Amino acid sequence: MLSMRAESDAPPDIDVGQLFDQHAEFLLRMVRRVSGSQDRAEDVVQKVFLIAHRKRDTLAEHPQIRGWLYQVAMNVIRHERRSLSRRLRLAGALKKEPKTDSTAPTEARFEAAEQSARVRACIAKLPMEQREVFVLYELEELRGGEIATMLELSENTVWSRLRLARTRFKRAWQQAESGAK
Amino acid sequence: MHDPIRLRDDPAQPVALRAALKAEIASPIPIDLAAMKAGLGQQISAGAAPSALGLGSKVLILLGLSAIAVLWLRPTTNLAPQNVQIVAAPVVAVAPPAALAELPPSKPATLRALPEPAATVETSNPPDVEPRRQTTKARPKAPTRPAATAPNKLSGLAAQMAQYQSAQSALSEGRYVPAATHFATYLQVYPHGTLVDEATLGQLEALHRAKQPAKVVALAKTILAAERIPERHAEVLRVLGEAEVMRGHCDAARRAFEKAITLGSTIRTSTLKSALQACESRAMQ
Repeated sequence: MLSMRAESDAPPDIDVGQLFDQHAEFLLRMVRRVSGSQDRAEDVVQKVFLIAHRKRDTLAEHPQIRGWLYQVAMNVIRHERRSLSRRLRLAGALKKEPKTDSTAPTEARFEAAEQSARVRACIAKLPMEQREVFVLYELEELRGGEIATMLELSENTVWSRLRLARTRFKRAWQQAESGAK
Repeated sequence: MHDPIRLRDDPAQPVALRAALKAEIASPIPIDLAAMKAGLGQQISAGAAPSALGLGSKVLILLGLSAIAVLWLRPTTNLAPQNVQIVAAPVVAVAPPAALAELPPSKPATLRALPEPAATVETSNPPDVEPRRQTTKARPKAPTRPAATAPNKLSGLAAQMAQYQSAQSALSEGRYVPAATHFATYLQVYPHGTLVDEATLGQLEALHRAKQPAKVVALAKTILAAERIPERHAEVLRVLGEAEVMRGHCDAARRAFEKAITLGSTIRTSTLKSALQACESRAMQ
């Protein structure tokens, strides 16, 4: 297996392969949910780990590696948001949805995908600060203290943002429900 | 402070909301992590630096470079759209003084502004670098200016950008057939160009909007078979499905849509269902 650890003459550092095993899935989920882009998630996360590899000698001593990786991912997303690539999307009014369960019948997958899509559409209406907290708490099921550490916020700020996010999310949900009827 | 109850567990929330949140939490990532890790390892062992430049940044940089190139070339090639007439005699000159100063003193050509579009040499920039159309009667040719001094590479980028932008402009203006033609020209002229992927997707979009499903199907299948632009395959499949619906090939459409879903994209299920139902009912008739 390909080692992603630096050569022995380098200072003690972190194994990026191990880091990938531990955090890639979390980052992919977060990037998908926060950015609203399925297609770019893989690219973004790959960039994050390439950056981690470049900074592996200093990263080993970082107290919050997951938080650091997450912040790097958010920076990459912000960078990409500014770019023109968003204008190059294919045409079509159909919206993006996740896969749910490839073994389920098509109809069931459609239904599950529709539910997930509606959740994501509502999340997309939240401001970024609230969106992060909402996703980390409601979907990633992190505790408030963990979110505060990861985002370098006070716990009170986390709860305050979550409260605002929930209000907006529920309002968006109701609008989506009434629009679907 | 205790963590508040999560919405999905809160009985005060609507059942549908809680179910949807649970569905979203349970949704797996449609990405092969092992393959992704292997790709990452290859990039690391190949010494790939993390590039923060996406397609958009690439386009922005190219735009900047092409703007520089255009500015460089401007006194010599006069890319701004205007009707001008080339005459031998030195008459009222409207060319920039600096440009005129570079002309050979013995036989200075001038660019005379015309009030009407008659008898013109079209200098608006034809993006596909066709030869200039000369619609005038035979006139003595003005001496040509010295060759452009901008580097060829920049000229090439500028030409690529001009071609691409003309296609993109046509697309955004709703002229889908010309847009598809311009994208096709780009791909033909610059098969290894910097914007090949963007042009390919643009061509697909233009053909789709122009309601040419047979061409859409052919192009989409080419993209998928060549394994190009894999991050857009879900969208390409979705477009392929829509084109198959237009053609009345319902099974093929369903397969394309299902594969698109498997790749984690992009279908509003109500629209999809109604499209497939309409397709099937048409096929029944």
